[in-house]
Amino acid sequence: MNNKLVTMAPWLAYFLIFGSLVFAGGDHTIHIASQVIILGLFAIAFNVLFGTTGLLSFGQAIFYGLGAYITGMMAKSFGGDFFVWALLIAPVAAITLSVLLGALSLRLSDVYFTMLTLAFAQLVWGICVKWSSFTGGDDGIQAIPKPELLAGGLNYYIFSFIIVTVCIYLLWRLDRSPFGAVLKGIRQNPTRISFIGLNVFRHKLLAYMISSGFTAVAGGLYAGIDKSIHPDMFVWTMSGSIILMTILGGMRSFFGPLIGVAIFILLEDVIGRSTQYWSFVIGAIMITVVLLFPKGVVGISRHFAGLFAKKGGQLDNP
Amino acid sequence: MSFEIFISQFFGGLSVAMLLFLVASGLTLIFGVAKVFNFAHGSFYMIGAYFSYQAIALFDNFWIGAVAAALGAGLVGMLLEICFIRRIAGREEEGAFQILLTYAFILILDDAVKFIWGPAYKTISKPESLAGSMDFGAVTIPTYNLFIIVLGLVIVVSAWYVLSRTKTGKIILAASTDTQMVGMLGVNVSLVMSLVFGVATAMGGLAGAMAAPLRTIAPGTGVEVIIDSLIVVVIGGLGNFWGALFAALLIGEVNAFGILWMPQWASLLSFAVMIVVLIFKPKGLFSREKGRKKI
Amino acid sequence: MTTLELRHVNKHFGGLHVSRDITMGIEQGELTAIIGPNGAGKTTLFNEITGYITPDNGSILFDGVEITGAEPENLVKMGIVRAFQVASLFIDETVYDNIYLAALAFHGKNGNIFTNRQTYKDVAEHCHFILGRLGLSGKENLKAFELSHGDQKVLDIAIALTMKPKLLLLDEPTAGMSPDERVKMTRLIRAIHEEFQLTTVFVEHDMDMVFGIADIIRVLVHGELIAEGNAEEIQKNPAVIEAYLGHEVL
Ligand SMILES: Nc1ncnc2c1ncn2[C@@H]1O[C@H](COP(=O)(O)OP(=O)(O)O)[C@@H](O)[C@H]1O
Ligand SMILES: [Mg+2]
Repeated sequence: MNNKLVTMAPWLAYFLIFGSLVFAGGDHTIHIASQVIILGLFAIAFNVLFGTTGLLSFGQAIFYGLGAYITGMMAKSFGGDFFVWALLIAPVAAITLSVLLGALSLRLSDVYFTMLTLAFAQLVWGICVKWSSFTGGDDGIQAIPKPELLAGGLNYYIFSFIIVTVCIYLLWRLDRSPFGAVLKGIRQNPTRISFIGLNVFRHKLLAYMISSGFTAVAGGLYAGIDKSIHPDMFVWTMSGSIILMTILGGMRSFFGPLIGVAIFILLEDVIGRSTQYWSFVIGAIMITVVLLFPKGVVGISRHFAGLFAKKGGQLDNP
Repeated sequence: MSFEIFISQFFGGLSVAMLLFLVASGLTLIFGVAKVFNFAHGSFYMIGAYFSYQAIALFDNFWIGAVAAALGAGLVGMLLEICFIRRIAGREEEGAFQILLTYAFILILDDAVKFIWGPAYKTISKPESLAGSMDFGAVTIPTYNLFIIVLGLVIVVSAWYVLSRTKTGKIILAASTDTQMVGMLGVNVSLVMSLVFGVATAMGGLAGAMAAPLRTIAPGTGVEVIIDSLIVVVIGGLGNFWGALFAALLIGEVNAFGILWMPQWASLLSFAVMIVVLIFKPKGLFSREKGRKKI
Repeated sequence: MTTLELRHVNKHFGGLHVSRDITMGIEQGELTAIIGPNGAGKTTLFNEITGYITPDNGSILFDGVEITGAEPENLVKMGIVRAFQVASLFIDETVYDNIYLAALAFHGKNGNIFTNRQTYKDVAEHCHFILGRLGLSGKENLKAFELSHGDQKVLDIAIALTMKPKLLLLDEPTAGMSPDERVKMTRLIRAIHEEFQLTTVFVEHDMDMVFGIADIIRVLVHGELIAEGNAEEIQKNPAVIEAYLGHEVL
């Protein structure tokens, strides 16, 4: 019972915080909250690769941008009512592409994998910018139509909240599933995984497909926030920011990436506006986190929780 | 394509290749010896260009600029190695953290140059002695390009000489394969690592200074350069010096001729080459299929 | 019936000839010890049998089927399972989860993405059986890295046994253990060998243990199989005495 409460507590906090915003949030807050949950989904999906499987991909922005462009371009061509359908097509397309890219990059290990994903991302970004007749080039795509019902900021937030929650729930199930256990095993000891009869590559590929699919949903949802998308969604610093947010929150915890996203976006809202050297700030945060707090915010709070728990234990058994 | 165009594109490609090699060989050296993937290597190219710009503004001499670029970038490189990179050595998932740490350097160095020199791009001109061009019958080649090719060759040969013919080189190579053993022989391994870092980043900085008259100096160039060098080292095989040379030549020429063939898409050709290589040789063109990790 | 057969297996690492034309047949139900000095190529031989590396030439047959060059995961499914010279564990997980993961793989649940991993009764029973049999009960909630060296080796073997091997290969199961732990491990190996009706091959340096429990002893020196036979035969074998000259144990 107590155990159940512990596992459910993050969910409770999640619903309390993001649910209450529906009633309490002003326009600006809702805008920020939309970004947090959508990027939160991106980060949690990314962490299936990074924190869980130990694969540092620097190219997940490919699938984020792809989701956004598929949704945006389809809605633009076929009308606002198609927006929601496009959100379903986006992950299918992303998963298809991920099979191809994964088959090439997952054969490589460590640095090679990371760099190949980065190179793919730059390639896709380059194509997006250069193929301007199709993608709108540097300008991106503006005035993406949405269904009547999702027009207002609040309505769109509620819509995104529902979809993101379903996705996060599925990823949460994955984290606790046999498949999730195999992925954690791959991170810790891939050799042992093959010697319990499992194919490392196939499990990695499936993880990559799943992560990419959910990332595309996040990208698609993003297309509806400001109704505009741009090639920057593909660019490598997008992947870089997601990585930073993930370790900032805590890559060893399921909800850590979401916490990292929230902190990052709030900071950006406060500091990012007042300085043109925001990258510098990000870099400084990143160095601090990597050197001093590699387990992120969740790691720090667990550390303190552990201290208290130990004290409590001593009281119980003198 | 006429023969004249062919030759002039070829030499153009060669000079690009040499600049690329200067950066990529440093990247591959750091990886091969210190086992660090320096994601920020392109940023040393960028700060090298800025240092040279600054020195030329002060002393009005191209060569002082080149020296300032190499020394400045090398010092910054050693400093970052000593203050940060060294401190995460041996940590679980060190590779990922190295990439993140050096990624942070990119962001910081980009903003630092913006802060110091402003967001607008800068240019410097070729030294007067090399500003002209040389005629070879019907073909005219800028002297500066020939100079870069010669400089590149000099550096290739001297790097080869140091690494394979001197005691220093032997220590460096030994330090990369058997850190403990070399440490016991009384060599200060961490000093060797810092020096390798310094030399490699100095080469990057020098490349930035040499490229500056041909391109522009701007914040963010580090990223373009690292992507290109990355392609080179991945094709050549990380840690493989000669592989990097070959791959730099390949990419340099592919770009030089690609631009004639399909101008709009030329910048994406390098990626295509890399992907083709990786499909057939996942660890680079010159990898020998290494045995699996010992268990 | 011959469970494992090696025919003229050769392997080189650069100039080093680590497996020299090795030919041998291991009968079903045999408990074989492989002995030989460090660097003789014992681990390499295990790597070849279990598919971690492929021999340069020669062939390996399991139950009469050619398996040369097959991947480890497929060989595990056929029943060739190993434990490692240095325990190979999921170091951040608990003892229970280490075995549970192996059991999930054994029961084919590894691809289940959206089910809770705690829900499989048969898998849990399987784990508890293994934990109990190997004397790890009571330690199931410790993290693998918290275990003593000896217990880590036991856990490694537990993972292997979870895969219900036909052919079990143990690489120096008592390496680095206290004398007490050695005796326990020796008994354990003999016991599980009979109880699970295994064909077992183990590498060992402790001669008391080797002569105490092995049916057949095979001696590997410089990559060459120089002798095979029971304890008595091996002790009298001139080539073995030559190779071990000065080693009082023989
Ligand atoms: N993957 C490998 N690459 C190169 N040499 C290896 C490799 N694995 C083992 N060796 C060498 O092969 C020889 C035999 O090693 P090994 O089979 O581990 O011996 P043993 O287990 O009998 O002590 C040793 O000299 C070892 O250094
Ligand atoms: Mg061995």
